[in-house]
Amino acid sequence: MTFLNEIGVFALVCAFVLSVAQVALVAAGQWKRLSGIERYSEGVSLAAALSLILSFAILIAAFVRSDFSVVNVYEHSHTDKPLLYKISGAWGSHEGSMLLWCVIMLSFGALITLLGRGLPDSLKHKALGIQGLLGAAFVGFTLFSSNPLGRLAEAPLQGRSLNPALQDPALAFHPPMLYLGYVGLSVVFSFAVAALIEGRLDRAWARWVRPWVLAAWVCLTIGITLGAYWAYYELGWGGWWAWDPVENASFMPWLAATALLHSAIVMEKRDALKAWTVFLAILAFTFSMMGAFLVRSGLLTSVHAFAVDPQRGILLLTILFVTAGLGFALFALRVPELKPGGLFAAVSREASLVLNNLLLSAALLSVFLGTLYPLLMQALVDKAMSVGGPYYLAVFGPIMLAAIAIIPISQLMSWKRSDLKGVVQRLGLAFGVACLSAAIGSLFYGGAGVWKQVTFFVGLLAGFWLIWGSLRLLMERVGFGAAAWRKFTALPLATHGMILAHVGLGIFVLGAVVEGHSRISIQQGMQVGDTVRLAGYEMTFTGTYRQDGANYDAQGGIFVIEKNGRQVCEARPQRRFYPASGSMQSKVWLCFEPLNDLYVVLSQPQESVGGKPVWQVRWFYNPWVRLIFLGPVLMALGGVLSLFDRRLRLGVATKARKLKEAV
Amino acid sequence: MIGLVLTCVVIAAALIAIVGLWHRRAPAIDALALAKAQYEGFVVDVERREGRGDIDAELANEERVEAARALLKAEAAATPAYSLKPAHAAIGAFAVAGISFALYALYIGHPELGDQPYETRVVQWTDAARRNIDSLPPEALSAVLHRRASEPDNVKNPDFWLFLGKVDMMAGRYYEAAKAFDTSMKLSPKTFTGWSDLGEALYFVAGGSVGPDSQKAFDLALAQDPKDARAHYYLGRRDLDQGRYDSARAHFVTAKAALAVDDIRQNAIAEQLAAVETAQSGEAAARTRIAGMVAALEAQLTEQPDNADGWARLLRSYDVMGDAAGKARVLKEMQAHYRDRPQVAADIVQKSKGAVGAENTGGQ
Repeated sequence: MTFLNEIGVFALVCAFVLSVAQVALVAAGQWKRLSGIERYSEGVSLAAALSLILSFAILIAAFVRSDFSVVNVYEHSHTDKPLLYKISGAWGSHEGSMLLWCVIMLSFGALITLLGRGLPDSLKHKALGIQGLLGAAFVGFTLFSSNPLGRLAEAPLQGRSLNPALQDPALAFHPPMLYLGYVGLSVVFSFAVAALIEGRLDRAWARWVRPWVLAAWVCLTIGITLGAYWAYYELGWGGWWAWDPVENASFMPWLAATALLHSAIVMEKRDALKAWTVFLAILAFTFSMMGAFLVRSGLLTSVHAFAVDPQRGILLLTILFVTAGLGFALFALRVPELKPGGLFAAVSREASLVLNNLLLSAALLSVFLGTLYPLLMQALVDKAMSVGGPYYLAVFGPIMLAAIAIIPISQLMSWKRSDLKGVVQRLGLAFGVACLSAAIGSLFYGGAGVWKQVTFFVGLLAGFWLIWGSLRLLMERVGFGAAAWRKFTALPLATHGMILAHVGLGIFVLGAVVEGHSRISIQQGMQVGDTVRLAGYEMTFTGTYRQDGANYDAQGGIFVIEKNGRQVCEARPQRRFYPASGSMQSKVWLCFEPLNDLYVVLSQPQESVGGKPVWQVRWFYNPWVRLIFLGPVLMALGGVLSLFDRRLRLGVATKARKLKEAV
Repeated sequence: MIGLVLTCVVIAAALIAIVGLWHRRAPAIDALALAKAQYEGFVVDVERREGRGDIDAELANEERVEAARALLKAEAAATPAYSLKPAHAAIGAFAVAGISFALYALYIGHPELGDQPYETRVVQWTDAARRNIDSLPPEALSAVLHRRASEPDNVKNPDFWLFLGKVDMMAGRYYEAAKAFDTSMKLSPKTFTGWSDLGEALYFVAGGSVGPDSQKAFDLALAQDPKDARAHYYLGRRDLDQGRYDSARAHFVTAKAALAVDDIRQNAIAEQLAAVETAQSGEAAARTRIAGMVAALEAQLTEQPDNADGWARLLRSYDVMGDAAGKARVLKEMQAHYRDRPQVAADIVQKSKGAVGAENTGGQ
């Protein structure tokens, strides 16, 4: 008889005890007699992370082996599931996802040890202590209230399977990426609290913290995009973002991290905005923890939310209040001691980044209010209400529009003092081209109503302005002629990353504006042989088919889509029946035009007319929707490029060797 | 159990070894030397950026001054490093391992529970089935048979699939059962005897109703054996649900007669027959009540005929009662009353097709 699952539980316990030891060692090191003992926290952080990785690997093994004596496996897996979804089932539940959260958190602690050899020992150990404290809190919560390897004496004969909507490649990778982002911000939080304890907040601190923020931001960007893409093609509603509170829970840390990324630049370059940067560092992780609380407290009903009892929600809320409270209390105590940094003029790159930060913070506040207000109303006065798209369009939209408008200007400004008139003149051509592009786009897609036309034009202008404005910066740095390529390759990777990220944002804006303005859809009962028309396309229902999947049986429709008499696509949407859970799932079919999607959803057949069943078919024409997903990929790629910039690279072995030689 | 304890000891020792090895591998870097190295690296970087024109001379100088300040601060803060005595380190290591094991053994873990991977269980079930097939619960037997379904002897054996379907039915896996019966039927359509099994499986797959597929299966079962009790039973239930009580009674009576007197299914059929009687008498009472209400409404419309909602309700009532002649008579009377207002008459007819008056929760 093997005891792999029990070894996994033991490893989880070890990780908890080691995390507590990590905190204790750092705390003991503050006592003069034991000064230096905190160095052992480095090895302890590695051991704790490895222990938890072992535990997580054993949980995955339990899913792969369909060991239903593990409650979590019984409730979220089935022998018929494909291997990928058996593995992803490990983080498809509350318990498993908490373990993944902890694995990432402790691994980041280990990374501080492995990559932080260039950091001052004192700061590094304090950061390890805080990271250990967070690790102990979350591993403790997982171990004592949400044990992912909890056992059943007698394994049931079969598992209950995983929600079919979650059996999707995008969703298999969405949670790990999102958690890398959420928990990556915990390192920033730890560095912020450590720096506040040390009383040392300077440019060097910003330099050490920036790569962590950037890495977390990249992962959050990819994670949110994967989630949006999954919602788009899996849920069959034709949209990609619904301002669902759980979506907002991931978006708020992203906004905070974006603001932090920019304020950290100001702090690094100009030694300014110290208090604001450290405040954002604490705030960003607080929002990450709030996201974890929202999806696990039972407060929300959402396709994303784990149905969990409120007691565990209260425990998470306690962790949130204690850790965030500790951070903010320390911040309040230390802020008066922080010396103001470098001065700058009202017209300067610093000032424009401050304005960018204020606007991002206002946007964050608008999302925060929109998310929590209905929950508070429900809790306090038992009044059900929802805040949807129109609110965000009216409040969040204009704020972000203003933030976008200043990005190209900010990019061309100089540090300390700049010449606004000169910058505007340099951007004149880019603005003209953006106006022209937006005008052409408006003419092409048109639409009824002056107000709608104006908002559409403004939206397009924002996207094109961002793209052309960013390219203008590239042009200035590189120029034309024979030397252009040499200059292009000589540009720092961080500059390439910044331009790419801003172009990516512009591309996303264009996609969101055009898709939001010009999306059209039709819903109709169709019999085989029927034809419908939409946006110049003609779709004919030519037949049905059956397919035996790995763990489902599908019934599908075959639709031939033509434009101007030429076949552009054969759509084969499906209705899938998953016997293990006894549930049906619509599988959307996407026809890729270069930028646009033809999106076909098949609902279940209804009463037969003339002996032939009538299928409810929804058909969307989503123009430029590809850009919505391409933009964030470019943004993330920009972040990755910046991460590889020599100036931002985290301490690696070569540096450690150099330091050793120096010693 | 001993294996588990030993493994836990090895894991704890390995984790403690990692702590020790890392500590030995990464001796304390003299903070002052580190600060000097950082200062030198920073200055080189500033000069590189200045030389390339990324920063101006003023900013470069400012950065150099800032770095020098940090170096002076590090010099002031430099303290000698502490070294842990081996005995203290061992006590600490044992404490961590001991607390972990105590927490596991006394509070969290279940050292008595071994792993139960599915593959191992299927092997155990297969062995048990070979010894005594009746000793296995249907769910386990179903798992064993499904595992054996791909064996060459079984793939094209209609009897195997028929048996598998019956086991799946007992295990409550109706969808899988229907698929197994369907496979058996496709392998041997002419000799297939499981039509009523297939119909029953499809009945449960459809959530307890006879759909077109199960209807077809039951019809074929009755074509093979006109006294097939199961087909009669489910067709009777369908008729009962649809209010065709006489037909339902006939099906149940045939099914009852087809079964042996001591067959335990007799009880279920008796229950259904009682349900037919109850439903039929209940419907008769309801019809009488509705007829009374209709008569009252008719009398009211005779006295006050200008009541569009009343006419619509009356037409709807005759529709519900299935009294076509009554409906035609009322329609004629209503049209006569509204002959100078044909649009109102048309609206009443349209309205009578949906829920009317009190039935309409949308309000009038």
